Formats: sequence, C-alpha cells, structure tokens
Amino acid sequence: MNGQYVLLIIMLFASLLTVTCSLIYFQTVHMERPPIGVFNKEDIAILFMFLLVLPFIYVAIPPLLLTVILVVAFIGLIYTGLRPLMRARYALLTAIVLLAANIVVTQTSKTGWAMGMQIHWALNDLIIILGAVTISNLYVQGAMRLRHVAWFALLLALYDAFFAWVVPLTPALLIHLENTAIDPAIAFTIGTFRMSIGLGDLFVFSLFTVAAYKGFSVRGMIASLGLVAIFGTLLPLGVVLVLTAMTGRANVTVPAQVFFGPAAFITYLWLSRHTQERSMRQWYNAHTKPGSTPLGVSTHARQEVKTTP
Amino acid sequence: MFATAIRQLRMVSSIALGKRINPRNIEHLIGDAVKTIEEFGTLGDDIQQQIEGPFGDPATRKDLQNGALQRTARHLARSSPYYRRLFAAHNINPEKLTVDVMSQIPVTTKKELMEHQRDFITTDSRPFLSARTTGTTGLPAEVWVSKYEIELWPALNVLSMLLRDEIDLDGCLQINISSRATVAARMMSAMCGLVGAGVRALGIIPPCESVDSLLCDGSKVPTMLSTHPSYLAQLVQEARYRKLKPCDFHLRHVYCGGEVLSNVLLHAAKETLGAEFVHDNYGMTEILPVTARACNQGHLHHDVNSGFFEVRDLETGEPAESGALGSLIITPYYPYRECMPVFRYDTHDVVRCLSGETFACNMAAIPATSRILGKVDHLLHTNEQIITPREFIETYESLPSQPWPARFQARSTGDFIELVLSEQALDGMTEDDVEQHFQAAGIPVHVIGHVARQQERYLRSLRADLLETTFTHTGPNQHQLARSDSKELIL
Repeated sequence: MNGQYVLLIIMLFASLLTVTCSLIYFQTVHMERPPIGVFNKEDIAILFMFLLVLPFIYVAIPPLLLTVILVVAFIGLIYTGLRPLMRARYALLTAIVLLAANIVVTQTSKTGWAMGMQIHWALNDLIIILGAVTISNLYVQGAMRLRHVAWFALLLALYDAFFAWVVPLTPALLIHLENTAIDPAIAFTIGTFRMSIGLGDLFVFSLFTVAAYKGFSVRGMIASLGLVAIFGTLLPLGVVLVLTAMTGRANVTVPAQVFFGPAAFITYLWLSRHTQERSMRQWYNAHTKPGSTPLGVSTHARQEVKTTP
Repeated sequence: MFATAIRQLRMVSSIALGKRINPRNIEHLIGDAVKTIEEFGTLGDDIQQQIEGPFGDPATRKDLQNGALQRTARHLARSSPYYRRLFAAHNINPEKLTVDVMSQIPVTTKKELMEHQRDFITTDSRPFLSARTTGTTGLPAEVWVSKYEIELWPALNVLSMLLRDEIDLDGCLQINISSRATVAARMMSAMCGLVGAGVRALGIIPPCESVDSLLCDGSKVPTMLSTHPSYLAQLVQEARYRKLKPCDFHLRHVYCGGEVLSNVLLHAAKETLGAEFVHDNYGMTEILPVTARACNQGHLHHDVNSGFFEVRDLETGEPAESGALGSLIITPYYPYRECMPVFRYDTHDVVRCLSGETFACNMAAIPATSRILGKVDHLLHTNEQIITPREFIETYESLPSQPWPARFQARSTGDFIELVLSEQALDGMTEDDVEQHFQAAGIPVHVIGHVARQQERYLRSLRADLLETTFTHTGPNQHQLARSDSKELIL
C-alpha cells in the first residue's frame, strides 16, 4: 500500500484514539471544578478572543521564549490531567519528565541520532494527546455544552479558513513552531511523507465527542465519532493528498475545521432536535452506579451523586 | 466560568481595597452560583474556603482585622459626626487602631443611638429606608439604611446561604415576622427574588392561618419558613392540635431569630413540621449585615468577614476570659455598612466566651461563642449563681406540659427565683412538680402563682404578640373556639 494511505489510516487511528481517551477519561475521572461557575457563551467569546490573539503572539516572540511558554503550559496541563489519577508530586514529576525527555531527545536528534526524531514524535504525540484529553475534559466537566462546542467549531472553521487562505498566518505559524522543542500537533512520518493534525483540531474533536456523549448519550457519541473520522480526518487529509498530487507541492495546509466545523454544527442541530441536552447532574445520575466511586479529587461531585434523588 | 472568576476578583479587590462593593456584581455571582447548582446539583470544590472567606484563616485574620478596623474608623472619622466627636474626645487615631486596643474605645449603646440618632447618619450617604426595632426588649430604636445597603445586604446574605446550601432555589419562603420589620422583610423578599424562589409575606397573623398557608398545595408551596421562636412555638402547637403530621408539610428550612430558641422547641419543630433544618441565626438591625449562625454542636459562629466581634465581661468591661459571660460587642466593617454605622455596638446580648477553644463542629474554622443566652437586663442573679434567660427558658420549655412559647415572670430574691407561670405550664402538674423540675436543672425556683391562659401574654412580651389582625376569618375559627375560653370570646 502507498505510504500516504498508510499514513492516512494512522492519522485516523490517532484522531480516534485521542477522542476515545477523552471519553474514557470523562467516564472514569471527576476533575476538580471551581466552587462557582459554569461554562457559558461569555466564556466562548473569551476563548475565541484568546485564540484570535495567540497565533500573532506566537509568531512575534522568539522561538526560545515560545518553547518556554509551551513547556510551562504543557506541564500545567499534564499535571492537571494526571492529578486525579495519582498523587500531586507524582503527577508533577511525570509532567516534567515527559517534557524534559522530549526536549533532550529533540536536541540529541539534531546531532544525527537516527532514532531521535522517531522518539521525539512518539513523546510529542503522547504529550499532545494528554493535553487534548485534559483540556476537553476540563471544559466539558466545567459544564460546556454541545451547543457551545458547535458554535465554537463553526467560528473556528471561519477563522481557520481566513488565516489559512486569506491571511496566511497558519502556514507561517507552522514554520515558526518547527523551531521549538514541542510541536503542538500529532504527526507521523513514513519515508518522505509526513502528516499532522494540530492540537487545536484534536481539542475540538475531543470536546465535541465528550460533550455529545454527555449531552446525548451513545447516539451523540456514535455521531461524533463518525464526524471526527470523516469530516475531521479523512476528508481534510484526503484533500491534502489530492492537492499534493495535483500541485506537486510538499507543504500543503488544509485546515480540518473548515470541514469539521459546519458538519459539527449540523450534527448538533440534528441531535438537539430529538432530545434535550443533558446537564452534568443528569449525566451523573444516569451513569453513576450506587456505591461506585469515580477517580478524582472532586469529592464534592461524588457527594452530589449520592445525595441527588 | 472565566467571567465568574473576573467577578470574584472584582469582589475580592473591593473588599481588600476598602472600596464599595458593587451589588450588581454580587447579583451576577449569585446568578452564576444558581446556574452551577442547576448544572451540577451542588456547588464545586473548595467550597469551605469560600464559605469561611479571607478572614477564615487564623494566620492572617488579625492583620486583615486590623486593616478592616482602620478602614472603618477612617470612614467614621471622616463621615460620622458622632464618631468624629468620640474619636477626637478619646484621642483615637484610626491609623493606629488594632484589635489589641479596641477595648480602650468606649462602646456605643442603644441609648446613645436613640439620643443622638441624627449624628450617627454619615454625611456622605443618602438615607433611604428607616427600620424601627420592635421594642420587645426595650424602647424601639430607628436605624436608617441607604439604597446601597439595602441592595448589598441581601445579595451578600443569599450568596452565603447558597454556599451553605441553606436556601431552596425552586422553593417558596413563608415570612412570619412582623410586617414592621421593614429591613428584614425586604431583605428576605429580595433574597428570594435573586435566586428565583417565591415569597409569601404573611406577617404575624393568627397561627391557624399561617399553618393553612404552610399546608397549601401548588407550585409555590412553602419549603422555607422565616419566623421568631415564639411564633414558631405557636405554629407547632397549632399543628399538634390539628393532629398534623410532618408529611403534611413541605418545609425544608426554618430560619429563626430575634429570640432564644430552646433545644426542645427546635426538635419539636423538626418533628412536627417536618423541617429538615432549623437554623438558629443571630442578627439585629443595628449591626446588619453582621450575623452569626448556630452550628451542629450549638456554638454561635460569627461572621468575621463583615464585622468584628468582641465579648465584653459583664462586670469588668474588659475582654471576657474563656468560659466567662459577656455582652456581645459588634463593629460592622466599612464598606458593608455606610449610612448609619456603629462602632463597638453593645448589643446587650449575653454569650459565654469560647476564645482559645478548638471546635469539632461543621463550622470549626470560624470563631464562635456560645449561643445567645439572653439580654443582659434579663439575667437572674441569685446568691450562688447567675441564671441566664436561655437556661431558664430551656428548663421551662422542657416541662412535660410543653408550655411553648415560654410565658413566665421570674424575679430573684437572693436565695431562689420567684416564678409566676402560665396555667398551660401546670397542665397535669403541680407547682411542686415544677419546682422539682427546675431544681433538677440546678435552678432554685419557688412558684408563687400562675395566670390564666388569657392573661399569660402580660407575663412576658414575645414577638409572637405583635399580632396583626386579618379579615380572613370573620369570627374566631373552630380551632380558636375549641381552645379558648368561650366566655372571653363572647365578650
């Protein structure tokens, strides 16, 4: 089989692995949440503003500073994700070791170590998957609803299309990020072929899948897994292959959100036409068996499961 | 979630910088808390930290208290004619004020508040609503509050209640307090409005009508009741007379205040009215929004975030030692109080000082005293001991005849207490039995007489006596007829 198609299947597997990990995490771990506050449309606006500004900052600052920012951010993220599963010091240690190992391997591979880049990408992918699982769960367990995710994905589709094709900020950002120790994307290489999906895309896929499962049960989950597979991975990467074959260019950027965003929005409309979206409380009541204790530090969430009639 | 964090930051910065707190910001925070409960069923983690507030940490409390007292004194020296004079006369420098020197500042009494009322109103505020105390424990005092205060207090109070799960979001509050308690009634209505709960403002009406209201069906059936202990006693009596069961009511919370709530009545209210929680709260118009809450072990935990409390020894006037009886002195902090603020207000409410003790209750981190033991003027001194009104009421209301609310007159003769009680208290008992009952509780009592049911209200003024007439029943209803002396009713 052609290496490009193998890569396509690997990328599909990676996307589905990320969203499956997010789903398992959502089902088994209760994350700590602030005493007051739920995710709402104001937060979507703030998040979108943040996303709007961030790429410009990334491009503007030197690679070393960008690496430091990314390392600190990822240590925080991985720590937050692992904290409910292990003691705080072990969670922090794991996060630091993962990031440090990635930096060391990246620097060593530059000296000609053959296996270096393979290990770098394996570590990098692990970090990115952990990051996507953590952020998506933070938001959905913080009461972000599928309605919010659908609107967010739709806005992101417009944003990505604009900055990929009208103002070429995304390609410039990808080149800039190549100089940092952490690449915020999962990528696989076979021979001369390389395919990647950005952390932002994986985050939105996970967010949509977990929110759909929380809000609309198994029906939502199946719909969103299909959505991630077809509109999130196969279609955009397929277009990349077609464009590469047609133009002969090596670096083709196709924003996955352009396909995923509108499809996600339509899926949300379809799902919400039949049933009302469930709240976290309704999800707890439907999915927590008497006597079972979910993993996590959120003791309050466990109490509410017991006390809610 | 991000917006909530910003709102919390705004609130904390206002408190830290001593600036006025925006009531709208608190109202939005309440909206956030309501949405959180709707989404999750409960509020999130670290709620205890939120409940205790920044003053909950003993390590930093003193520094925060010093800052808050200095800020309050600065505001008073600038805007309150009364305290400007007082501070000048006693050479008090607000900048050097600390917790340790508070006892050197003269206390403010209700008498001074009444005599110099106009001088207590700050020059930079606009009085909006006047609240008159009911006068059941003395002459009534008039306290003015500003629009800012009347908007801020319910918002702060309801936020605190939400954090403690002390309010039903989709419930209904029945208010059985005097309609003249304007600030309290308005605050409670506003609080319910902020969380979307219903309000039935009934006032002190015939208990049978209040019980009828508690029994009603429909979407706005009362799940919360706010009243005084004496009126609660009448409701319990009415419910028992009508042989009602706890399942006939839908009450979850009963909020009591303004009088001594005995343990026996508290349990009776739970058993009879089916209330899950009976909250024995402390507050008074003069010191609002500073309040205190009774915990599950019977301590009274004071709100140290909005005010400073001291216990002043009844004899020496110095800070009371642990275990000693003292009068509760409260200083509400600025910017919680701005229109008619008081500094070191002597509430004349007696408590037992519990300083230095460690608690194992559900509010252990918050400083506490004993529950309110009664007014200073109502203490009974014998040659051997001081008997507090609470001790006396607890013993009286635990009589087998269940004479609730406690109606009596007691006077010390030195060796023992002379007691005139109500006829109801002697139901199935002799005067000797009553004396033995008190003796068993360590109170030497000599019963010198009793009064008929119709006269018993003259024994002791209770808030339940602030009865408001209604036209709901054109004549005495069947329950009143059955229980009262028909001769008096005909008259």
